[in-house]
Amino acid sequence: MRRFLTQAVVLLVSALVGSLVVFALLRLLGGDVAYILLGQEATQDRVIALRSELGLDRVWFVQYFDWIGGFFSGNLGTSFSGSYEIFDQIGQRLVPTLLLAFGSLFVSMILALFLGTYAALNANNTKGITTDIGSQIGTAIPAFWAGLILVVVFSVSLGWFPAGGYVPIQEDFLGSIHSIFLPIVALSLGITSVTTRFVRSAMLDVLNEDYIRTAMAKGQTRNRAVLVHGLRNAAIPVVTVGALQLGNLLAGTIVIESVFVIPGLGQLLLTAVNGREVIVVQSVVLVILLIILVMNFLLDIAYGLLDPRISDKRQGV
Amino acid sequence: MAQPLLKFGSKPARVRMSDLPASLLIGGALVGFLACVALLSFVWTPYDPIEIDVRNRYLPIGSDAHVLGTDKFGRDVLTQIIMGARNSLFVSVVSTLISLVIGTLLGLYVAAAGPRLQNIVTRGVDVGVAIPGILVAMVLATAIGPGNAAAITAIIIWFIPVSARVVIGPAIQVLSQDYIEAAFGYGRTKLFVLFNHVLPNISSIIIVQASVMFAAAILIEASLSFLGVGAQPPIASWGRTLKEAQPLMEIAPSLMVVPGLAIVIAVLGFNLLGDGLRALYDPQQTRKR
Amino acid sequence: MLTIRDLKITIAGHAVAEIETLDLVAGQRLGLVGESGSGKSMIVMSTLGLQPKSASITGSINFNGQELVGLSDKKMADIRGRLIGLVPQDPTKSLNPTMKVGKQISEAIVLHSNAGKKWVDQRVRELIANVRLPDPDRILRSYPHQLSGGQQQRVLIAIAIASNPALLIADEPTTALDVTVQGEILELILTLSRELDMGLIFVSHELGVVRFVCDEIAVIYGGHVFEVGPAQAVVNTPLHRYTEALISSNIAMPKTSADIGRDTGALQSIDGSVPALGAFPDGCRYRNRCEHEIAECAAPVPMQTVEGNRRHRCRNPISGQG
Repeated sequence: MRRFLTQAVVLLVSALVGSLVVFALLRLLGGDVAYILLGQEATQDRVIALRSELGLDRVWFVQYFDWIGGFFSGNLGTSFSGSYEIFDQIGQRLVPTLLLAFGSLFVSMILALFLGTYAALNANNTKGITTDIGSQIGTAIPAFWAGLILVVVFSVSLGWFPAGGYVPIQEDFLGSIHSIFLPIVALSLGITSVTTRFVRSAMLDVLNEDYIRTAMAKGQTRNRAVLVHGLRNAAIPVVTVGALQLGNLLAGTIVIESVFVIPGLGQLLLTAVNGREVIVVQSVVLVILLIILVMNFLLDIAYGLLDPRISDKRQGV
Repeated sequence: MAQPLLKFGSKPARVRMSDLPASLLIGGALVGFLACVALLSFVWTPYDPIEIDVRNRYLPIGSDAHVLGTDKFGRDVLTQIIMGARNSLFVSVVSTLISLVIGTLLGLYVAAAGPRLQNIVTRGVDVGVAIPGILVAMVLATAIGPGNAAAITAIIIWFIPVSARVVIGPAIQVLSQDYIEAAFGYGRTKLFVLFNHVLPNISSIIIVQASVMFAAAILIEASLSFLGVGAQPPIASWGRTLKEAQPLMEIAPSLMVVPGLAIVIAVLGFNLLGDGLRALYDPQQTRKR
Repeated sequence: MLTIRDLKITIAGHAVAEIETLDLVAGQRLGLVGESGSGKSMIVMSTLGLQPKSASITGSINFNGQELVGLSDKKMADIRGRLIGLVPQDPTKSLNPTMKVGKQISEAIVLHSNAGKKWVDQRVRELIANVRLPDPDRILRSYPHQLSGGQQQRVLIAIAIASNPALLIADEPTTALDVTVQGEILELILTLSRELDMGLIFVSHELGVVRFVCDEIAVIYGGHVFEVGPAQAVVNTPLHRYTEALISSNIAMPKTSADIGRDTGALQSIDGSVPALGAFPDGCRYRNRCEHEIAECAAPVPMQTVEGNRRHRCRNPISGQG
């Protein structure tokens, strides 16, 4: 329990540090937002007025704490363009992004576990080699291209899935899954490929382990011995690699939202970038950071559950 | 990017071509091809990249005058791809090399420093690695505007913790060797030891890492251009070409195929090269596979 | 019970083991002795179908009428555990680190029986008692890394005898253990072999240990059987020069189990080292390290029988023995 709490605190601290870094980057490099928003020919007066209106003339730590305070209290004000409430938008768009990210992570990890095991068990024959080559190529395919091709084939040509858009999960569960199916496939492709390679490697190591031989000596066939004893051991790298892929996962989520026109955080970020909406960008980035940190935290717990040696080490046994 | 540890100071023995791992040969060939195409673009391209020829738009692949077809402005696709290759390589090489230099220096410094500093930096690096490069790029694009500058800077910022982390562990291990102690014993400065003993021994790791980073940089650059945050017109970029092809999905789906394939080939090439180099430097590691 | 005829195991074109004849009668304890690289492990692993994938096997290993060579993995899996049990060499690596010990033992039982959970649990506790492990509740719930090497090896022995096999193969079961524990484990194996009326093939590089546990000893070098005979006879009055060298390079032969592990416990050393695969000389494989080599040693050496129960293949054996 104590460890749980320390990890949670570390998470928060990391998030705050991250927020500070993002804030600093934007302020330092930002040039003059007001000036950019108004255009080159704006007069000094108008620039000053806009700066004041947007609160950009205050001292930096005032701006920072105002922002962080607003972030955690649910009030981030309106966008510079004045067309939406920032916090509300983020709230609305959180669900589709989470669905996409968690869904893909889950799918990738399960797929990778089985594909990697399959590849390892068949390492010396054509089936295994094909899987290996396939996963190698899979790591090179950008998620957005996969998405585009999938849309052309399964949406435009075959009409099995919608080409884009998102059906909110609260409204229509099956419809929601249907609309999010291709995006998840596209996003999972790269991550599954990378993870599969690690699982394959871990499984090959497992195959050479003495305890597999013991299992066979008990009376298991080779394949069953690997499945019964190897799977849990191979699941461990799935979790560790998964944790390393979180950055790619969220990056891919942003891009896939663009391909499939899913109204998630990625789209919001994109429009904000183009509109120089500094506060929106800060906030969305912080949210995404938090998502990554939470996922990392969850994977860490999973890792502890899978490997009994680690939990003993952690408790100082 | 968890990497198995390579043997230190391992240099490839004199080997025949046929002894080299397949991944190295294929990867090397692909990368070499890419480099040639990119370099060629400075001297010659089949067509003028910005020339518009609306009468000949949407020509399919395999047309007489345009091997890979034309886009919605009638621009030759092959030319676009070649120019895109130049841009991709440019961005990835510049960002990777700069970040490797900075990251290596940082890593070496930290490896030679005390354990307290190492702990802090390792924590920080772990966090840094977890942040998606695209996010950094979007933040930068908000600040300084979209374009290659933002992309390159973002990739550098993202790659520095990655390179540092790759360097720190092995560097610490090398520093703990006996002959390093001996070197310090007869008066060598830390700087000398770092550059003359540590660096050569971890160079193989860095080279392999560089290859992987080139691949990652190409992917990021393509993603950024696709989102509109990367190279801006008229600079050609594979990602943006794909973006432009997206609304034309129903009219000319083939426009989406070629730039994507180009990305895949480039990334695959560097990945295979990295795998091959790794196999070359440490055959035991890969014999298990 | 077990008859090996014309067994030849090849890896990458090199003969790792070549055995013309080797027999084991039910209830008998046979020791296979040799230095590392002698091929002794490969022979027993092949008996279980656990040889490396790159190994090809010809000849016959017949177990109670069932031919084992060439048997499918599935059929072999049925025999493993049920009829032939294995006690492996390194206990710290031979147990699944992420599975509780109790489950690993019950797996051995469940694979060959349809009994209900209650019976299986009881049997597991019975086995834990058989191998003299105290506190069964704790053992059942533990993970391998929470047990000592000796305890892990006892668990592995429990697993090996779980289905009451007719034959137990012990592949250097004490080599990886602490010297203080070696004697106990050997006693245990010997006792179990007697109590459960199991045949035993005991593989080791230590003649002293094998002499203590086994009735008959086969000395193996380069995959060839150099000498076979009753344990005491082979050790006290060896015929083959290699056997002689093995004995004299062992500093103190243990007299009882309490002595085991009290000698150096180190690998016996003879001049030179076992050649790599494919680097063995023609004729007698040991001749390049033998002090007593004569001209005839360069030709292949056939097995000679002396006094009915002792066999050897030495051109220049020790005279006045046997």
